[in-house]
Amino acid sequence: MKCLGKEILTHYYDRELTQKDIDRVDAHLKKCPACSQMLQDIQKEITLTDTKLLLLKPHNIPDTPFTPIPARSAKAKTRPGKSWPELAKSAIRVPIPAFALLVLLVCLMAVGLFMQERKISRLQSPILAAKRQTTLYLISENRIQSLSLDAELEGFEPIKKPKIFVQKGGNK
Amino acid sequence: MTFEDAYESYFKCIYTYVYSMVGTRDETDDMVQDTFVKLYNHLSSHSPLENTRTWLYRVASNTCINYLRRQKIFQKILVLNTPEEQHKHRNPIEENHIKEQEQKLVREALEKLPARERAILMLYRDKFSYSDIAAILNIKATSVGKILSRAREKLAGEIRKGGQK
Repeated sequence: MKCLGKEILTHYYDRELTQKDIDRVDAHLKKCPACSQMLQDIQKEITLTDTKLLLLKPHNIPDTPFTPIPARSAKAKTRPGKSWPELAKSAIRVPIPAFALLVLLVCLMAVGLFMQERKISRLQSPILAAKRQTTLYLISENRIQSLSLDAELEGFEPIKKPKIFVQKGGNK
Repeated sequence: MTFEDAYESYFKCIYTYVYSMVGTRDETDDMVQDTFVKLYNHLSSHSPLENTRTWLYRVASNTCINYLRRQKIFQKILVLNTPEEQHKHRNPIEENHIKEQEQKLVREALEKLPARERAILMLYRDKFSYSDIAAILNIKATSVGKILSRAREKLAGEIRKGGQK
């Protein structure tokens, strides 16, 4: 069997090996004087450091360096257990229907203002104004044509286009 | 375990651990107090702890390591060994000159080790298993043995070096 390393022997000394491994190490140590010597060295080193480190312990430990903190009151204990609607309710302190009504009113006002703004902007837009005029013109044209047809069918003279529509069409 | 029980059971070992790590009374008092205040807050807001001892050691270790890293404890040796500090906590054992010298030697040797290695040595001295040390210092259980051996070697070397001077 190969010689054991320092790590295994340290673990062996610290009793950090499984029983199976301990038995193996025991069996090896009986046969190998080099590993036994290494174990002794490890033991010496550990004893030295541990004894020296014990010197650093304080000689007098204060019994009560600070007074124990008083227990919390029952009120304070229940406080973190509150659900969020309860916490919100206690924080707002205004009746909920009144609060909801207020919120609704504000929302309606906001929507109204927005619509008004949109209407104004639409009226002021030159492209939209031109479009609206063209639509009116086309509707009027159709209306005149249908009226002319009705008049012809009934034996009347056809209706003449008003000047304004002729001018709107351009050079006609 | 209630706060009062934990305080009664573990105050002395936590105090010893922190004092061994830091080496000054004032800092030890503050750190131990911080540790128990954290325990109190934890117990009042969270579920009870599975292993209060390990938890306390973990908090104390983190506090000490952070403190040591911040303060660069090399300067603290000088503070610890000033006549004023020794006079403040004098008792019949400390008046023994040889023991004082030995303490100084060990403290100086320990100061040369990184905070984590120092913590491992202290926890080993306080009879913690490798798995407990790993849980306290938040490291792998397999690394504990290696770090511990390295720390021991370094400490033994420094003590020998200091003894030869």
